[in-house]
Amino acid sequence: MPPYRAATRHRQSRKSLASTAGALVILAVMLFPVYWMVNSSLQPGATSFTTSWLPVHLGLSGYRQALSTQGGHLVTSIVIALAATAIAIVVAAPAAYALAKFPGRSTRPVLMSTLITQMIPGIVIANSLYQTYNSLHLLNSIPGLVLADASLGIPFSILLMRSFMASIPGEIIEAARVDGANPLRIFLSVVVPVSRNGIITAALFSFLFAWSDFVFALTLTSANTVTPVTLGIYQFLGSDVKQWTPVMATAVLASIPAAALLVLAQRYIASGITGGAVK
Amino acid sequence: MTIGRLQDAKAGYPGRAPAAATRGGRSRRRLALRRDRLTYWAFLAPALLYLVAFFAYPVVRNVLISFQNYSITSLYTGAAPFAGLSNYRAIFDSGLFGGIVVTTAIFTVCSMAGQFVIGLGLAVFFSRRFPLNGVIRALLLLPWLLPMVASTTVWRWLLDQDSGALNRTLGALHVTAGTTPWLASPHLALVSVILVNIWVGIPFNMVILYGGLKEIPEELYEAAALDGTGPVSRFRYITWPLLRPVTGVVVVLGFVYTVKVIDIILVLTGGGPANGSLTLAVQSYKLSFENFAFGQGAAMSNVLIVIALIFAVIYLRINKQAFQSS
Amino acid sequence: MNDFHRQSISTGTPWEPVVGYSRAVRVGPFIYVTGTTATDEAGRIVGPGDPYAQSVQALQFVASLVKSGSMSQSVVTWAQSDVNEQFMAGKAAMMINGPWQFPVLDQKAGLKYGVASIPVPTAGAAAKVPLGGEVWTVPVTSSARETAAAKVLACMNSSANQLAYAKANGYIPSLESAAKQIAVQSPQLAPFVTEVGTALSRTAEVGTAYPKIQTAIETALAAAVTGQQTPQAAMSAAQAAQ
Repeated sequence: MPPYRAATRHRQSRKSLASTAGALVILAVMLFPVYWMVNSSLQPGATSFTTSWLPVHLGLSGYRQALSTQGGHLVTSIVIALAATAIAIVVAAPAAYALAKFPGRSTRPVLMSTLITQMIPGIVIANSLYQTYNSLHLLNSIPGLVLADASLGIPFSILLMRSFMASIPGEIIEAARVDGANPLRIFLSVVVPVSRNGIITAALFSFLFAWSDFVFALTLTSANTVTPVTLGIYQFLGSDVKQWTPVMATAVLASIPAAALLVLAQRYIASGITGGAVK
Repeated sequence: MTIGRLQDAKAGYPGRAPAAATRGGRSRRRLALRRDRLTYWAFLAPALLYLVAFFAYPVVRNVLISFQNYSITSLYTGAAPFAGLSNYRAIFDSGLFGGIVVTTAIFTVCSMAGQFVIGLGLAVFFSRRFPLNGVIRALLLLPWLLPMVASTTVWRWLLDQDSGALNRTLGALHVTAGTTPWLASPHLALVSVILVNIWVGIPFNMVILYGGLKEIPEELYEAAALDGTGPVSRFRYITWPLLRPVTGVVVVLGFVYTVKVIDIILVLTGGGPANGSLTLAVQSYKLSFENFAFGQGAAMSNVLIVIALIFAVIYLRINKQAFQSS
Repeated sequence: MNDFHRQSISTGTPWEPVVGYSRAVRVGPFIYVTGTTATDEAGRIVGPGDPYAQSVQALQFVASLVKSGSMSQSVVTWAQSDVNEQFMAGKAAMMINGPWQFPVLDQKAGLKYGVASIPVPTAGAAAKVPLGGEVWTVPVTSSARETAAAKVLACMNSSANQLAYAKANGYIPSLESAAKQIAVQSPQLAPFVTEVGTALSRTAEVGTAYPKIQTAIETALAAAVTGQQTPQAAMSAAQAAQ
């Protein structure tokens, strides 16, 4: 190997290690509150002023309480969030494509209406949904919550994916059309792979919206049969007595499976797929 | 795909075809147009159905309630007498309204500025390749994974005047006296909720902008580097313009979500002290669920929606690219 | 704590030695402060018969506690449970709270505490504390449902059930006979039982207007304590908001 190339590579690897160090510092600063959460989850009886910087007197009672009561709630949350995400993407992706690539007079009003739905406070929606759900017997049901949580992700996904799909070059679609593909096939075989970044980002946030939903979980359930973890965590927070240690332990436990999914999803956001398609 | 086939494709595409004056050409165009319209509505239908089912009725009901005298007794008796504009008059004349609007404006503008700038900076930083890039990027989304009650409570502890970690650190480093009333002073309470909201919003901006950055073809940067353009010019002339559609969505959605924030403010300060951190959304919640004046709460949330709408329209007029189709 | 030097800080009002009450009592590193009455530095009652002036004076006193450093400004952010936590951690020497905290207090290992009645301005007067608690109602639905609900309510209001509910939640039963029983069974509830007898309902005079009034008072208190407004200005703002 010529000495010049070796030197460049050495310089580049030092630069990337410096970037990694910088990224870790950023992570440490941004996640300090998360550290505090883990810290207090390991200190039984934690309150605002009795939590020390390091969990010197380690206690796992918080985790014991969390695991024994919240295990089922965690599973409920994951099931609901995954199902809601799937529905949200399946419904929103074709709509986003239609709004991006088929301009017409109704496009702007539809987009504005979608945007307006995002301005409505969640409580307003939940309150009105309650009566409808009651008559449809959808209260206290997983499908009911799945449908409601999907509604959190659909408008957002439409707006986001549309902006990604708008920059797909028309020639790619043209080529498929000329090849005789029907609109559905064009969508599935050309548009979807090319807008992978947008779809994954939209799916990510739809999952997060559904996962962290509290308002629907609270309003659309009246019994304890279906309880996502965002609601279950409140059993430790009475009006007079607030047990923060199990709350923090639950929060930590709840984020582990979701974090794993996130790391997986981030891998798929690859770079510039559209860049090489028109050659 | 060869250039020849591309030209064939262009010839058959409706709206772009050179005037093929034959009847066959025109009817083929009309057929293709009809098929396009059908596709458009077919693809849009499920989403539209969902939006109407889940959002139309609540909006209408909210507007109706805002014109009714809906109090806690209405929950029992079902009676909510028509109240005309009295709910709206009540919230506008309350003497608090001006302050609430100002607080909301400060909260929204500062939150968005902070979130967007830092999010964009981080997105650019992470677009480089280095070890652990993906894992760290994913972990930065942790604030969004944690139940809001837990993370906001931790912030409450960190910002506590007497024993919070922030004051203890600042005092130990002799930056301040270590007694700053982050949550106990009306002005500083607003600063605190803005800071926490920025913290919450950075991952949202970063992830979406990162996705948009990754759409920009590498070749453009390589060509620019060969031409000798520096990083700032590269950002100005390549990155920023090509990022515009995604930027537009992030800003509009960021604005709408920020203006709607209530749980952060409710847990951190409850809108206080002395209404220091009281925004339109929080006041709407308090009117409905603490004062049980549901009519006024609905009126306030309608005002919120209208204000958000006005700003969204203005922004989109200025930044036409955000909602443009190709 | 019992061998600390005890120092009484009085303001020289005539009834302090009579009642055995001081403005503040310092015991070692702790300062005990009782409720506020509307008296000025010279001990004269401010605004006799004028609740508005007395409220301003009370606000003034609370604000001065923060200004002098006896109380941290972060009290404006505290809810009941925060006050309880401060007391349990030994950071507050005395707190005004309700009997529902007893189960929490009893759980804390090594915590020794006592209960006293809230002092009154004239000897022998009854303490006027605000009355809170739970109210059960039968909403207007259908005749059959209302009858069923009334049956449940009657059952819950039986002496035995009231006692059981009160014991479980740290409340005082509303049935006087049950209340007397609970005072005997749990001596630390006795002062509360006495006070409930003369307590004032917050909604008796104002009804459903109470939430608005409470918000106004809360805002005024926060404004005065944080120094954002003078107590005078804070109270007039609260009055104007009605």
